[in-house]
Amino acid sequence: MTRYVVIRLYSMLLTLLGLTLLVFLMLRLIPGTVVEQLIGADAVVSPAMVAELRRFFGLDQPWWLQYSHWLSGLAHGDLGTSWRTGKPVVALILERLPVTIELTSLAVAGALLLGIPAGIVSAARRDHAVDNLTRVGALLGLSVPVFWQGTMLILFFSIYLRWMPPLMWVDFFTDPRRNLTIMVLPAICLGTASAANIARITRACMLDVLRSEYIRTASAKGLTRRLVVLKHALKNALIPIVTVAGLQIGILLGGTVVVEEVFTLPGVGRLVLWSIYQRDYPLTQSTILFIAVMFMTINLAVDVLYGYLDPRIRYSG
Amino acid sequence: MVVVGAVGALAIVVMALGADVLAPHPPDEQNFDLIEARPGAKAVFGTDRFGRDVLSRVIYGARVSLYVAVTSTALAMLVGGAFGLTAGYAGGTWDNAINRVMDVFFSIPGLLLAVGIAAMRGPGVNSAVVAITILYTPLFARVMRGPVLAEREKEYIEAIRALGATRLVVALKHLLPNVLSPFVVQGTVAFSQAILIEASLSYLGLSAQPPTPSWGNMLNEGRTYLETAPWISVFPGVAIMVAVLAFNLIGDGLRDALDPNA
Repeated sequence: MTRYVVIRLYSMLLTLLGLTLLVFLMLRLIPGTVVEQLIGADAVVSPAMVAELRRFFGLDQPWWLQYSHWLSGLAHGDLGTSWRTGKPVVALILERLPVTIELTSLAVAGALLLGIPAGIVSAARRDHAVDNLTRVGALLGLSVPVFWQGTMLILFFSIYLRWMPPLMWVDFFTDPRRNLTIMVLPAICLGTASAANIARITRACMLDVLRSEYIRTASAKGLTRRLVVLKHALKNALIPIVTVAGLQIGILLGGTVVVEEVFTLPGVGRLVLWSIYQRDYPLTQSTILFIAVMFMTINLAVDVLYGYLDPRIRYSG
Repeated sequence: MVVVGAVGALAIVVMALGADVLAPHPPDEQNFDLIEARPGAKAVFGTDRFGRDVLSRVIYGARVSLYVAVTSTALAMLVGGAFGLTAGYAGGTWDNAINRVMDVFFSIPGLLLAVGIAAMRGPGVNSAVVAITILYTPLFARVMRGPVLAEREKEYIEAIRALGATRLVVALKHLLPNVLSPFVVQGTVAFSQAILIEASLSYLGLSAQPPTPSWGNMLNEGRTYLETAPWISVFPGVAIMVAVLAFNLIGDGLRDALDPNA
C-alpha cells in the first residue's frame, strides 16, 4: 500500500505540473488582459501608459519566462500576489476556504444522511411504492439545475414564507446558529444531486448483495429481515458506496462555483469566478491549482480507504 | 419509464426544431402593454420586463440547449473515442501519453474546467460547445479505452491480425463494434448532463448572450425580478428539468438494455 501511495503521489506531481501549464496557457488565451480591464473600454490612454502597465504586471515578458517565475514561486510555497487586490493569493484563499469547506461538508453530510437510507429502503422494498418513489425522486434530484433550485428555494422562503436567511456571512465559531441559517439552503442545493447519486448506487449495490447466497443462508437461518439487510448486506455494499461518496466531494467542490454565486457566499468557488472575470492571472491560476490539489488528494484518499475497507484489493501500482 | 423519457425528449426536439411555428410570438418581440404580465390568457407563461412572451422564449431556448448538447457530446464522442481507441489498441507510448494528458483534465472539477474554458474563449454559444467538448473528451477516451484493452487480447482479434488485416482495419472494423455499448450508454448520460452544464454556463453569462434566449440566461435575467415576476425564472427552470429528466430516463433505459452489468 505504501508503494502504491508513493507512486500515486509521484504521478500526482506530474499531473500537477501538466495542469500548471494548461491553466497558465488557458488564461493567456482569454481575450483581454488585466491592463484592458483596468483602463476600461472608453478611456483614452497613451500607448506609453499601456506599455508601462504591461511592464508593471510582467506581461511584456515572454510567456515561458512568466511561467517559470510562477513555477519557481510555487516551488518556494509562494502562490503569488493578486493583481486586483494586492493581497497574497494564499491569504485570499485561506480567508474564503472555511466557507467552501463548510458548504461542501454540509452538502456531503446531508447527501449521505439522505442517500444511504433512501437507497437501503428502496432496495429492501424493491418494486414497492417506496422504491418507485425513491427512484423517481433520485432521477429528479439528478435533473434539477443547482442554480434554479437555489432560486426557487429563495423564492419559496423569502416571498411565500416571508423568511430570509441573513445576508452577511458569519463563521460557525462566531455565531453557529446564524451561520447554519445562512448555509442550510446552499448546502441543500449543492447536495441534492449527490444524494440522488448515492441513493442510486446504494440501491444498486444493496440489490446486488441481497441476491448473494450468504444472504439467502442468513435468511434461512431465521434472522430477521432487518438484521439481514442492516448487518449482513449493508456491510458489504458499503465499499462501492464509500467510493462514490468520496468522489462526490470532489464533484461538489466544482459545484460550489455556481452555488456560491447564487447565494453570494464568499467562498473559493466565487473567488475563482471573480478572478477569471477580472483577468487576475496569479489569483486564478493558483486558486485553480489549489482546488485541483484538494480534488486529487480526496481521490487518492478514497482509493487508499478502498484498499483498507476491502482487504481483497491489493494495489500493484 | 423509457417511454416517458422518449416522449419528453421528442417534445423538446420538436419544440427546438419547430420553434418558428410553435411559439406564439417571436422571442424578442416586445409588447409594452404587457410588461411583467402574470401567466394568463394573453401570455400562458407570462411576460418579462420588456413585455416579451416567456413561453415563446422558453420554446426558442430549447434550440440553444439542444444545439450545444448535441454538438459537444458528438464531438467529444468522436475525439475521445478516437483517443481511447488509439490508447487502448496501440498501447505503449501512445497509451501512456494520452493517459497523462487525460489525467491533467481529470484533475480539475468538471464544472470549474468548463467555466474556465468558456471564459477563455469569451462568452458565446460556441464557447459552451468547446468547453463541454473538452470536458467530455477525456471521459469518453477512458470509457472507450477500458473495453478496448480487454477486447484486443481476445483470440478473434489475433486471428484477424494473422490473416493480414492492418491495425486500422482491425481497430475500426472489428474492435470498435464490439466495444460500443458502454460508450453509447455513456453518451446518453453525458448528453443530459451537457444540457445542465450549458444552462449553468448560460446562467453565469458564459454561453448564449441576451437577447438570444437560452434557459440559463432567462433564469439569470429573472433573478432580479423574483419578487415581482417569479414566472420569468420558474418556467425556464422547469424546461431544463424536463429536458434533463427525459434524457436521463432514456439513458437509464439504454443502460439496462445494452449494458446490463453496469
